[in-house]
Formats: sequence, C-alpha cells, structure tokens
Amino acid sequence: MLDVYAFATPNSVKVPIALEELGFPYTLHGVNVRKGEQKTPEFLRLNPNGKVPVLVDTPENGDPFILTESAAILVYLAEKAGRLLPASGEERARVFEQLFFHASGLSPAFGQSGFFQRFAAEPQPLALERFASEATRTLGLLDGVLAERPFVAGEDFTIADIAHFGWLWRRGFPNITFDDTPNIARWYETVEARPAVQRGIARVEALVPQD
Amino acid sequence: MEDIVCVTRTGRAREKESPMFGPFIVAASEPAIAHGMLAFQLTGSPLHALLALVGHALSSPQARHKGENEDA
Repeated sequence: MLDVYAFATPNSVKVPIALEELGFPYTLHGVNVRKGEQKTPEFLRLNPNGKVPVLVDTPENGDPFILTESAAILVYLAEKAGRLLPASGEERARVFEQLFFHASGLSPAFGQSGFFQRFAAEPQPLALERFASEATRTLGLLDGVLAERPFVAGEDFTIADIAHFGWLWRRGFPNITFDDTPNIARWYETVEARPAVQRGIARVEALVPQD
Repeated sequence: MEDIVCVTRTGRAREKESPMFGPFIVAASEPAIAHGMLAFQLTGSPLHALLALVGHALSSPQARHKGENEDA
C-alpha cells in the first residue's frame, strides 16, 4: 500500500505523476503548506525536515517504509516498477546526472529566486540578481540539453523528465517563461500532454481548498 | 529591518521573563502588532514600526501563497 503526503507544489507533483505513469495505486493525503500543516508534530514524525512530499510504502507483512525527498522517491518508485530508469550503464548515469542537476541546480535556483521576488521582508537586490540569474542560467543549460535529445536524459521519457517538469510546471513562481528556450517549450508541451502527467497534476490541484 | 527583528525578538524574550515588561504589548499578543509597537517603543520611529508591520505581512505563512519553498 502506497500513501503519499503532498500538496500542489513543484516537488510534490512529481510523485503522483510518477505513480500515475507507473500504474501504482496510491492514496493521496493533502498537507496544506499554506496553513503550515507540514510543521505539525504529526507530519514531522513522517519528515523531520517539515517538507512535502513523503511516501509511505506499507507491505502486507512488515513495517512501513517512509521516504522523503522527491528525487529519492522517484528513484525508489522507478526501481520498484522496473520502468522509467534504465537498469545500468550510461543511460542510467544520464538520468542521475539530470536528477542531481535538478536537485542541486535548477530547483534551488527557482525556489530562491521566487522567494526573494515574493516573500523577502524587504528587497534584497544582491539575492534577487543572484538567484534570478542562476534560474535563467540553469534554464538555458537545460534548453541546450534538450536541443540534442528529445527528453532530458536521452531518447526516452524517464524520471528525470518528471523531476524537471515539477518546477517548470510552477515556473510562474520565479517569473520564468519559455520565450527564449524553444527546446524546453517543445519538451514541456510533449510531457504535459501525457495522460498520466495530466492525472497527476489534477490529483494535487484537487488538494487546494477553493476559498 | 533585520536589526529591528532582532531587537523586537529580544524584547519579546524579556516579556516572557518579566510579566511587567510591556503588559499592553503582551495583551495585544498578535506578533505583527507587538513587533510594530516594540519597534516604535525602542526606536521612537513610526517608520520603523511600519516597516516591522510590513515585514510581518510579507513574510507571514499566509503570504506564502503557493508554498513553493515548503517542499523538497
């Protein structure tokens, strides 16, 4: 039995998308980060880092396995299914290259850029410039990758595409557009059109209270 | 702003140590109001008080509308 604790956020959406792609049944539990539910004692027992998403895999006979960090969850699910992650060799290494680039490069640049544009108590020009430039730079790097390949890690759709898609789906937060990245625009349209991706997005968007 | 936050946090710590410190501020226990009043009390500057209030409004959990910084 798979339980997912998530919200309509860039990293959360990756998990339902992967589960839909892989065909695993799962129960989705909303954690309303706008209300701070990710900081409650109950949630912190699942993830002391106080962040979504969290995956809980409970076998029929055995203890629940709790996993945090969206990239780690993607790898776990892909290996469990034997799909969306090549088993070995250079193709597998390319997927990890993109997963790590996303987790250490594009994702923090987008997140920090959006934070300093929207939430900083007072303008921080150095931080604004630093993270906006880094977000644009990493986007350009990814566009260069996609100029050479149909998907981010090669010829086939993998969990690396799901990883990048999450933040590009929420690109409005750091005020990013695809105006200067035609290869990303082409790739995004292809990924977004996948039925499983649309189902995953719909599941997390349904978690947002309509108030 | 960062300095004001530090000062007001020190002030709030003193509130807890001494019930006599700033009783009205304690009564008006909303952090944004308390921080704004403390900023005014400690600096005498309405501008600093206003900045403390604005800072609270912009950085409060409610302002984190999308929650993009609450996931990993």
